[in-house]
Amino acid sequence: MTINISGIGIDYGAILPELVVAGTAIVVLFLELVVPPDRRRWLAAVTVIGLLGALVATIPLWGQNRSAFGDTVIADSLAVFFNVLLIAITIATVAISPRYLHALDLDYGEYYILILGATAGMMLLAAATSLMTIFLGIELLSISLYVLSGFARTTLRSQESALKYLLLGGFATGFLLYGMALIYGATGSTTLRGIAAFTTAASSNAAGNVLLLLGIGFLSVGLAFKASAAPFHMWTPDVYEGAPTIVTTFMSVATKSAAFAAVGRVFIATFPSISSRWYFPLALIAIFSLFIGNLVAITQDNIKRMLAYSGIAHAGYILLGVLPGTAQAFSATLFYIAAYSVMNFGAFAVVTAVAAGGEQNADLSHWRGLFYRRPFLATVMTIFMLSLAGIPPTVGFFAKLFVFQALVNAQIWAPLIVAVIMTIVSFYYYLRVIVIMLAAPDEVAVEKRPLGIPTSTVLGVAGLATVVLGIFPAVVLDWATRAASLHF
Amino acid sequence: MDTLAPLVLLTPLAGFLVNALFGRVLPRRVVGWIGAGSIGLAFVFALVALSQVLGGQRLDQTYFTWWQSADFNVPFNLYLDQLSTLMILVITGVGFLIHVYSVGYMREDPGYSRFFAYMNLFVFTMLLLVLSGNLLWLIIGWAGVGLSSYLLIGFWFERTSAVLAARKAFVMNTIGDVGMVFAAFLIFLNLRVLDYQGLFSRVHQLPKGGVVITAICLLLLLGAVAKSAQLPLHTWLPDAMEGPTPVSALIHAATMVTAGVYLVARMHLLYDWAPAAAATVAVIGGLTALFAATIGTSQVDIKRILAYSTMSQIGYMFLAVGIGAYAAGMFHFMTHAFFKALLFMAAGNVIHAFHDDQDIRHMGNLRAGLPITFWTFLIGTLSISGFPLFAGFFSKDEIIRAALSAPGAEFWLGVIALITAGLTAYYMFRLFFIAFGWEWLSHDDRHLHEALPVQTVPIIILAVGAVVGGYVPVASFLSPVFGHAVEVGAGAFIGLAALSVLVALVGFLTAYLLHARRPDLALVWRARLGPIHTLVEHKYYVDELYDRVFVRPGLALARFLNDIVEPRVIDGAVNGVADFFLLEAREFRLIQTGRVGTYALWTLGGAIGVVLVVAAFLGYLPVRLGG
Repeated sequence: MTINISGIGIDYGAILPELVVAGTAIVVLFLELVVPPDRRRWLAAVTVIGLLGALVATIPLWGQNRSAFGDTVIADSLAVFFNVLLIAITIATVAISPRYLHALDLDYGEYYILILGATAGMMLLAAATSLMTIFLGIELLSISLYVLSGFARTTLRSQESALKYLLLGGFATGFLLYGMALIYGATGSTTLRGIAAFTTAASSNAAGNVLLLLGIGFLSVGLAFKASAAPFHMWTPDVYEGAPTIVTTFMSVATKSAAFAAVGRVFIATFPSISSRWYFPLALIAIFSLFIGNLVAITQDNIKRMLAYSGIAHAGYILLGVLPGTAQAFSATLFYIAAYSVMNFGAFAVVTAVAAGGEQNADLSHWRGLFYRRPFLATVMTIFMLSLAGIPPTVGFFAKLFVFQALVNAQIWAPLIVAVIMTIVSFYYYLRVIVIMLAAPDEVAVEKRPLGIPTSTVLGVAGLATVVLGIFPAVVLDWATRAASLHF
Repeated sequence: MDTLAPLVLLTPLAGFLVNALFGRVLPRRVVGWIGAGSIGLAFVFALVALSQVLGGQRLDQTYFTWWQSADFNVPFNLYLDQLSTLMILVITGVGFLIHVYSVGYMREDPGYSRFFAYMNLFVFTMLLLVLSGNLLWLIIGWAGVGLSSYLLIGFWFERTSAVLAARKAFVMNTIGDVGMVFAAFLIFLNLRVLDYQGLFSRVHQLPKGGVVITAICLLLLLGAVAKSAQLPLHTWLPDAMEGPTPVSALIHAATMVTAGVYLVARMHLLYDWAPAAAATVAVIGGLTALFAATIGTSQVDIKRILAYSTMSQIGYMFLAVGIGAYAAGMFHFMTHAFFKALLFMAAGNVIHAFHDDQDIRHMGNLRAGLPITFWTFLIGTLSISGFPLFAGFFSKDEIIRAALSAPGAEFWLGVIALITAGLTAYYMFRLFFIAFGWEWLSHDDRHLHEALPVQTVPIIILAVGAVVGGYVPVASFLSPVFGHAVEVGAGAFIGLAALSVLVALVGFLTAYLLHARRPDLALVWRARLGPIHTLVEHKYYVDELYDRVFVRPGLALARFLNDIVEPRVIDGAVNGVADFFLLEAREFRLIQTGRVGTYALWTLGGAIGVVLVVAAFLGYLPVRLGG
């Protein structure tokens, strides 16, 4: 048997950004051998350069529609949207990493390789149009993150979180694979295009197909696990708390974004004709996430756990935009993901900066009077908290507004009402952070430890973006609309 | 042209940002240069814009869409026609002179950079208000000038009176802002547009003089009345004199307080379509003109007299735009900006010379000590009193003529305007004779020093404007916007001019007699007028009335709510709800045991839940979902 290679459609250009990121990982792997231990910041620099190269490689793909490798990946605006977002998140993460790693004595080159590996997996996931590439992307990012969670080798909590993440992640992957197998069994195809063709064909009776529906159900379990949506969220608080804060920062936004890219491709692009079937489970997952995330966040006294639950709640908000099953509503989801990435990254980056400043314990009581000790950190944290709560003029307000508007347009009321009520509940724990930071400190001692230029730049840009996009949301909304609509 | 308008707008913004962010570390000289220079640069851009407008160009350019949601579309568009060109010229031109003056006036103030940052912010928001091509950005600018006015009135925030005055101004202005927002709601509800172009083309879809259009115009008028300190929302303006004098000159005389006039002029198609609302504008203007002028006759604080005079002059402008003489109103806006900024800045020099004493009875004989200030103030006084050939004469006359020659009840407004003109001449010359006059009172002029050239040169330039500003053909410049004004015959022109000159002369002579020649007569007449004088001196007790009717009951209600309703009703309910959620949250928290087995069990439970939902869809369960 001969394989017709050109028939598969090998088009390296379509996956050039992913290739650049993976190539950078290999370069860093070799550099790590020759760079002396006290010069490991160079690796961070190389990583950033590689990521910038990937950014350059991804821009020309905007507006295109290039399927490659036998319909298993696609280079389109949606992929570019996520590529840009993920690369930006990774660059910001890498920029603030050296100082934190140094403070924790974790300055090893493998860190950058793993981060790059995870990024490549996420980007692949965003471009994946086949069950196989979806799985490949998820595993690539998951395995990298399992290791990263346990990267603080000497800390017991970090080890615990890595093990928990690995065990539960493996469990969820089982569901994911089983779901994929069932879908393949029902439709006879692994590419999303083939599956979509099957579901829309009149003869197939997709809406009554047991195998297909069970497969979709298990697939959504697997994806919901990655997006840390309830009730598949249980790993999130423990892993977020135990993992090194810089890793938590990265995965809290990047993993979630990538998972929702796959959710969009699967549910909105592939199964629009049977949206009445997946609407109900997804709505339940969204409501669960909103409920559990917001409620339990109230009782947390550890800021990393609090933000973990807040992340679960935001998974619920993001999922709301998927429910109507239309491109217009999905653009609200994309906007929300971008907004969430900026503000949540910023919030965790502040936690990282505080941790690197010596407060390893992320207990909220250590944040008392932060405003008097670290005015800049406390100010940007205030912006991020207000934005996460959805108070204008921050980007978080428009993110919620657009999603709610999409629900109103689609006349989906029950999840909307839950979302609005839970938003009010969320004010409690977001504003509480601000109150604690502003409370009079026990002793006034201004810390003059500098943040370093990369960290203060990243925080400043994130804070500024949170406000500026809250005043001028149209730019990002426009991109989100085009990314969401071009594909469908 | 489409790059020019943003340049006009953004230069003051850049000045604000630089001074706000780096003002504290920059040397004072640089702060002043940036503060004044950015406005000067904006003025240059405005002049270029003027040359292009004179060449027949107009601008209605959308730069970006701020917000789009279904048919609710808010573009950011700038609208530059003859009207907004006149406005930006005055704002940046007079604004530049006042900024230069401030370099000297504020030179010893510790809040130097903060002052210039606020001033630049004000100019930016004022330009935004004027240049905006749609109602929403107009309202943003409108609120922005309110904010910067608040910040500048309370600039010396260590003084309780300044803080109270700032708060009062803000509350009064917010009442107007609410009116503006509701007007925008009504317009969008009925016409589905917010931009001027669409609004002006669709306004005629509404029935003429109908409830809707009248309500819109009255709500807009509420905003205009509050911003321009007209009856009955006028009480904040005299208190606003707590701010530094350049602020009074720029914001509370030349520009911001005239925003209400601009608003009515900009919306003139709407007011033409709602005659009842337009008549309300005219009546409010006429009454305020007279009312404020009478109060002006009895005050002794130099800045407060000028503040009441500002109210009165803006009353003229309201009267003009209310009876449809839009060009006349805008003409008076321009000349008023010249002579009133002049008067305030000259008054600032006097106040500095007297070490921050503002009581005119403590002043006197300034010709020797402050010659430049003396002569320029005299020019300003002549101009505002409407003496022939000065700028104020032409613009005020045009308003009085328009009112008197209009058919119907406007005639009586013209009469009021005439009486006010006499009162204006009286109170301005009273001020002049007492504060600047040659009567030697109790000082030693050796202590008096003329201000620095950086303060006097802007005043001299404005004095030139206060003389020759009347020869600027504003009406014909604005004719593309408002159409051509009705020409009045030469006979009527001369007759009315003579009449108003006569009235002004009467005012002048009375002031001369009572306050320069026979001060004893003033005392006699004050005693004779007894209760009336007391009434006027206490500003008709309006502040006291508001205090009794609104402030005190409001405070009493607040106290009742705070002491009774809040702890027992609200707190009970709120805390109850919060306790409920906390209790629930604590229970949910118990799910998180930390054991991997539990977690896996939950994941499995979730998966089973999904399977059950699928089963329900397919009809394997007694519960049926979907179709």
